[in-house]
Amino acid sequence: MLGSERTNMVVAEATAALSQEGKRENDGTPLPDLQTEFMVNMTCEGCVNAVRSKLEPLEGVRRVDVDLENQVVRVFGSAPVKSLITAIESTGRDVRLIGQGVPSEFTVSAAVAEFKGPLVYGVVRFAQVSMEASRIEAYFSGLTPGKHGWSINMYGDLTRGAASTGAIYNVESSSTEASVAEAMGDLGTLEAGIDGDAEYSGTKLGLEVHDLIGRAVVVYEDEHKSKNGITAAVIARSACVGQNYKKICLCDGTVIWNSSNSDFVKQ
Amino acid sequence: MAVRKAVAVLKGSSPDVAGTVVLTQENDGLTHVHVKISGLTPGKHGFHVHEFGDTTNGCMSTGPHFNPHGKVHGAPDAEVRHAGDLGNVTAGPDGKVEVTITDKQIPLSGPLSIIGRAFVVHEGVDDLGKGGHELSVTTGNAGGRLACGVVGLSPAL
Repeated sequence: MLGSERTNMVVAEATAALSQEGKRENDGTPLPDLQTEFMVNMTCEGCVNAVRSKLEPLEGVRRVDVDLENQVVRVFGSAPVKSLITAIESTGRDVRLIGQGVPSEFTVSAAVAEFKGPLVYGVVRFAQVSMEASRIEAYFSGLTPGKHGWSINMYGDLTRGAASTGAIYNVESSSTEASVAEAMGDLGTLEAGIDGDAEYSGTKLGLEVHDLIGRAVVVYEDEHKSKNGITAAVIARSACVGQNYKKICLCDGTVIWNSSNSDFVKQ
Repeated sequence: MAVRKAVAVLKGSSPDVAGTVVLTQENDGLTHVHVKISGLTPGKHGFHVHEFGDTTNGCMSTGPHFNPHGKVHGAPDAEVRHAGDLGNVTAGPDGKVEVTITDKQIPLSGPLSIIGRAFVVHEGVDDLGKGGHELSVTTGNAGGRLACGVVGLSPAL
């Protein structure tokens, strides 16, 4: 089975599971719109047209703005990050996600939790898309095949790994029925394929990104979260749209096209 | 009395450089930063808070030094500095650092909170803005990154 088909199935299953619970607004309706900003290695109008022609036909892309001088491409719509990156890469150009959010609406609208191994790798992105809801997109690799519970936990304290992240995050003094039945931070279940990859995209009502900063995303061995998590990552502030056009790291001269999460100096 | 607590676990590309930064702040008072790092080369290493805790694109996605007041780079005790400029930490002959820094510009709550931002420890010495190098006034010319960690919430005391 093709990776993308499996992905769609996983997302569809996750969506079905969510709508059964009836507590998250993810019943097959498209993800809410937001702006995602990429830096793309474009040098001419021709490159701009090539990038546009790959992005504009994608489902869920409403508008594409290109700023050639800054090498920035801004996509407005609901398409998942992964399909946007794949489309841009298909033009043969380098691409880096540099910001996400709904511009000038919220002071803190974007956050990211990054799992850096040694077993499980992954990125979870949060974006505040309205006063009521946040969008979550996650990609994992290195999981054991099958179902894994995952959650947002109270503390981003990784001194003892997932064991020091506390209980599942919940919203205090919330009067909504959903929060009584289920903690806000309970993200349900990820399903990893036989290759150990898992993906999730969805929207969560009542989740406020600014209140997640400094907490942790935790992934568990089984779907019931019966033991401590197997891995955890701190939810970090990330750039919103237009906030970070840094293209070269002055401290060591790395340029963005060569950058990665592991570009450390070896002693 | 409210005491806020936060912690960052520092990691580099090799397992050699590792550490923790434990932060505490009473009410709106000074923030105490307890730094423990091992695996460094002996001597001084630049130590900063960057604007974002996002390391997906390495140094690029962490943004510049946390600088909410739009100042130039400086020493931690200077009038003009980035809020994230914590100067240097000094490793002993065994490559270890254990020191407590006290600072007033890195609160653990409010709009200028450093929760969710990143600590970065550098290869070289932060010249505190006085090195005369073109990078002195932006980064302190402290060289590449050795390790970093996102500041996470800890249970309050």
